[in-house]
Amino acid sequence: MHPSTPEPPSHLPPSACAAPRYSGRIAQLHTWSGQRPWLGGLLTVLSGLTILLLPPGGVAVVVLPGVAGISALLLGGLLIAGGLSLLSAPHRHGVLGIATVLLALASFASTNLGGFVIGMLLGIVGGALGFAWNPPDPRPATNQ
Amino acid sequence: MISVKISDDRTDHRPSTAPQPDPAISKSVSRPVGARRAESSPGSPTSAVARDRGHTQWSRFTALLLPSLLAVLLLGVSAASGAIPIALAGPARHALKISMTSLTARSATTGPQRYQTRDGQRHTEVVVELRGLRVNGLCASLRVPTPLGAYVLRITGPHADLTLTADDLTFALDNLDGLGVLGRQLSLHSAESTLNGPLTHTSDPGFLPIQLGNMTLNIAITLRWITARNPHLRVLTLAGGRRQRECF
Repeated sequence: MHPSTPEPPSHLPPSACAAPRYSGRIAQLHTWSGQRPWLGGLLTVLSGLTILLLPPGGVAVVVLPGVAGISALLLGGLLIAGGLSLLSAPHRHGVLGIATVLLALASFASTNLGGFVIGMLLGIVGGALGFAWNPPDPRPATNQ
Repeated sequence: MISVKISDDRTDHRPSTAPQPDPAISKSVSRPVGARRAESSPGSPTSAVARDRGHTQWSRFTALLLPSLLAVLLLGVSAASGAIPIALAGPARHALKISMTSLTARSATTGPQRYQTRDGQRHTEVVVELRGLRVNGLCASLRVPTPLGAYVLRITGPHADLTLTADDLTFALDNLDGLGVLGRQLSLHSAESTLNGPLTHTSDPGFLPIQLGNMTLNIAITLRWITARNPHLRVLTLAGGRRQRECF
């Protein structure tokens, strides 16, 4: 007579080792975040929003004519687009990361001190994170 | 009675035709998650777990972040010394508080001018020109509400005896929402009109000499543009922050 013992896990395929440890939407989010520099993209989007919205309404005692008046809109929009591109096109993370850092630096002189420095620093850190991200390695695992 | 012991070195209980599992993988499955994660390094037998996710290479992160922070530092120093201009722009209006020990200038105001923006709206502006501007003991502060609290931008002359000068300061006054004046001395054209003759005898025809002493202004205005010729701004100190005090 054999007792009812649990099936040993050895029947699992090798790929089960890399199976997500979560289920449902959390598993999807886990997989999605592993395929792209999500933190760099998120910080870059926040940077663009900060430059656009901080301070609310801006400072208007001195309103400069020309490109300075629309630079917050331009740079904030470009940073938001860069952050979304980091999330949607992660294979271009190198170019997008450097471009994000340059845009954030340019915002200091042209848009309310780069969103009172907060937006600029968010953009620099987000761009550096995007630049430093390494994509998943498509090579199969090697067992030694 | 047969007892079955499950162990890592399983060797029986399966038909011989079944695929033999990899001992390393079996260990990986039977171990806790934390232990598996700790072993997931490139080159290890369980590196497949690490390869299906991207990761950050911190050396590249540092290589880009450090020069950027250095550039931020240089930008800050350059902006504070006036080497690079800083643009502050936006659609809202905030009160500007100005106090000064003395101001002398010759002013001229052109009649209202009209301009049209791209959206088709017509606006009226008044252009004010100040020549030979000399200001002592200047303090100007601007309080801007932000989601993180009120942010105060404060410009001060470090010493009352240092003079801020500009040969020609011209600005276009787009809107004047409020003006509060408190001062001890306000002289318009005093030197030329009362002592030296009529208005036409001024050195700058059409310009009105202005002299203010111990003046406090609380104004809410919108300037459309401003230009300055030969400004000497090095005596000014620009400070900003949530803990900065306003001038008054």
